Amino acid sequence: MRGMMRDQTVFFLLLVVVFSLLWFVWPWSWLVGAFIAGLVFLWSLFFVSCVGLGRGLVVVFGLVAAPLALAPLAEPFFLWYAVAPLAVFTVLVYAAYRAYDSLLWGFLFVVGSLWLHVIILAAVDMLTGGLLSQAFDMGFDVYVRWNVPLIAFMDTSSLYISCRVVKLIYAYVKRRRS
Amino acid sequence: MTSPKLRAGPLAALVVLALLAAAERVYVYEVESDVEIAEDVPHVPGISWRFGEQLLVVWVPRDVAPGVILFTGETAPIPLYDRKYFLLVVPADARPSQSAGAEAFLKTPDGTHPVVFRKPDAGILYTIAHSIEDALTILKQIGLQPEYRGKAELIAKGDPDAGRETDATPTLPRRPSVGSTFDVYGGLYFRQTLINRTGLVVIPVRGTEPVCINLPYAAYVGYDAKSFALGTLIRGGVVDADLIVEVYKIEFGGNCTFLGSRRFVLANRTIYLVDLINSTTSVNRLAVFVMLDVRSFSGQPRVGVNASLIYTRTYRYGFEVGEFAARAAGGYKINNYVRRIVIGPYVAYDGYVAQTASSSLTLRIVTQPEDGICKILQVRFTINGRSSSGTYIYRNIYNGECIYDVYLPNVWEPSFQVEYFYAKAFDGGLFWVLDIQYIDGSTPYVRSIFLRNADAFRYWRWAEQWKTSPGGIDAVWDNPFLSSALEIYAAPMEPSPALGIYHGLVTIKAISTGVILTISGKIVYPGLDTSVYMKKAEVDIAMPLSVRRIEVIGDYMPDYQLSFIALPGWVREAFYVKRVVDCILMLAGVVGRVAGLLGFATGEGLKSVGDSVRAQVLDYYTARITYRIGWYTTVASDTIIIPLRIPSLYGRVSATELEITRICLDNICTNPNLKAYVQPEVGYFIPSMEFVKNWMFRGQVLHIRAYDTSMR
Repeated sequence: MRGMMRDQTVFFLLLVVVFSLLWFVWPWSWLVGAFIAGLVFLWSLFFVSCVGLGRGLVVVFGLVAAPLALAPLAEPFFLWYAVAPLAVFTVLVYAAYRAYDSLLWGFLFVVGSLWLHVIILAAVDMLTGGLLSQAFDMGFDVYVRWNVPLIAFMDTSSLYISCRVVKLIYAYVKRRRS
Repeated sequence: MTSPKLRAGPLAALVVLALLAAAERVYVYEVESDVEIAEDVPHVPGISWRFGEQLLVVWVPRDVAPGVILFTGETAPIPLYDRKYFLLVVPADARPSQSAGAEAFLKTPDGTHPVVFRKPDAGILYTIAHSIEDALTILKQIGLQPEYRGKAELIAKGDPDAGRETDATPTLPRRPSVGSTFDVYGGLYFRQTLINRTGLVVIPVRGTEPVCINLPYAAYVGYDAKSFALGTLIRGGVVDADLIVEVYKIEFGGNCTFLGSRRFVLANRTIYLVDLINSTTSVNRLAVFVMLDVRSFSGQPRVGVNASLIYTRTYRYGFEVGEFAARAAGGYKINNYVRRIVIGPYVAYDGYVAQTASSSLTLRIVTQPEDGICKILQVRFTINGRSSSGTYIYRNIYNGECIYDVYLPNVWEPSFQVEYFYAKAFDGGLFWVLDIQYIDGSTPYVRSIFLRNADAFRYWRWAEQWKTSPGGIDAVWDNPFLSSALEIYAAPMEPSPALGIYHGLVTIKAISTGVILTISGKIVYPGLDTSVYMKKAEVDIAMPLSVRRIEVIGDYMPDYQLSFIALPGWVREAFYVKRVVDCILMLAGVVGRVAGLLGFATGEGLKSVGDSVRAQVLDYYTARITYRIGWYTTVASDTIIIPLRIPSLYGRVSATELEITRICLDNICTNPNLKAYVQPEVGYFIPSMEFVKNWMFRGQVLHIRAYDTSMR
């Protein structure tokens, strides 16, 4: 079961990175919305696969990401760019709550994983002389495209590690309690 | 039904016949000269005809050879002129005589004429023709009956180069220093005028603000003009007319009083010297009024008139000059026999300060070996295909093909001045024509040409017309309109058959209350007759003061009408919502500077939806201004105007030097080190007549609203 989970997470990690590589050739047009939607969708699946992925969650994350792609067609959806991260976060907490049967544990799992991965990213940024902050600062650029795949790779790999670490901590605490 | 064209044919024939009936017979000689003709033209003492003692000079190409216009990819026959080769028009009844005072002799098949050089009696400096036949046509159109009489020689008495400008040793370009006096070149521009009636026809100046209350179509000349020439271009028909130039003094209060007039025979592609505007008369503020006295016309002729001016200016305050740089870069696939390479044309920006022109034109010409060997290459550099800037020999590097690294050591100032003057009179630009041939005279088969990112032309340029009175600045010019500009043509360094040429223009106008950056850029696909507008631009500005708190105080897209860059309403709302949501998510580790992909993708995605301009401090002295087109933009414009506020410039009592250290237009980057000088704020009040500045600097008129709204 654990092996399966790890394989699935690695699979989505690779999927996010491969998808992010498309950014090198992605046209600077209304289709950028579709790229962002794809990235958010795959990243959500990747993270949620850490705690358990079901068909329902795939549909939910699809619904969360879709407005990002549709915004150029219906401008009110641009509001979703502000709200989508909160929506993804909420669904992630819900998924973790289902996995651990506790809202608090679920919340702490998601927040813990995210913060740990932020710490890892900060450490990598420091070790690489600010390469990551440079990549983040660059944002989406018309011509400079290397930063997005780099961020995708660093983010997912560090999140994979942090997720594993938090899971180990949870397993340890559970053993101690039982 | 008869078409207008068919009706115009017999009418034109009638006009020509009528002209021929009254035409004066002239002999046309193809002259090889050992003196170059500039403002002093040949006269034969003692002759008397319509043009006084003057002989008419008509420039014709010495030869025409296959060439490539690099920035359009076109191959075309390219003419090459020579300032020592021209046609001379002599009245047929002029009898050769000897004159003790002759400076030169014109040796013709019909005898030898004594020649002296002086400013033209009849005002005509010279005419430009595409060929001898074309020259004869122009002469017929002005009522002469020309007869080509063969070759002739113009031989100077004594040293031919004495006292005359020649291809002498080039002088090094000077940087203006405070206290020095210069010749400054500029232009005036008139509207093209359709001739559809006989009698007096006014040629109005371009622009909307009248200089004279009582003479709305007059053009502003200003103070201290030492030379004034008009150029004419007639298209679409034939006109028999006189060109009348009236010179006025601008009185205090805006009324103009008549000083005098000159009347010339109107000829196509001809430059006229108007001697009424000179150092003596222009101690007053002058204006000119141009009109035609049309006797007859055929077809639908449009007459274009433009003026070239030389002013005397003294650099007094340290902020009256800016810089212009024209740059070239990129690789170009040719694969053809090429004798001429055309690089340009670039804008002949107003205000060129004499003796400051330079060039670092550097190119690699790759040719095909002939019989396995590479020959020595000879390159003659000419400005606008007319005035030489030197001939140089280049040896090859062999690498399966012949590689020649060609470098122009410097611009020859006299040539540059003549061509600049000529370009302003015809509202034209400046370009290089490189005449290339092997040392044995054969034409090379050129595979490709690589232009290093370098200056094709660079020179200092002057602010507006300037009163050089010892007491100070004339009130109108307290705040001169001055900008430094860079124009670039570029292609990718790897030559491609589907040629896309980048054309960019960046100007910076700097005054203490604000700095205005104007950036234009587009990729032109000449073969496809299409272009793609600039998507991103970066400009780095350095100054010897702090750039902290630099601020973009507006941004405009001049799509014929200036308009602010505006985000879609829902995007603006999204930013407000995002602020609230981010406060929550910050705690969760979803958003933050280096927080992760989710926050980055949505946040940066939202930021890049619309067009944006931002100022970023790179270090204490340097700021970067970045323009980026949004992925959901609805505006199509190749130009953006960015007014900036730099607080450290406030309250300055001396001029401040700004330098544009780097410009990136889309993927084309260059380090132009372009200087602009900021007028000090203290001691100079804000002008009340800012608009008048745009008369000389055509093309800036559209931007006036941006200056007005952002600077006040």
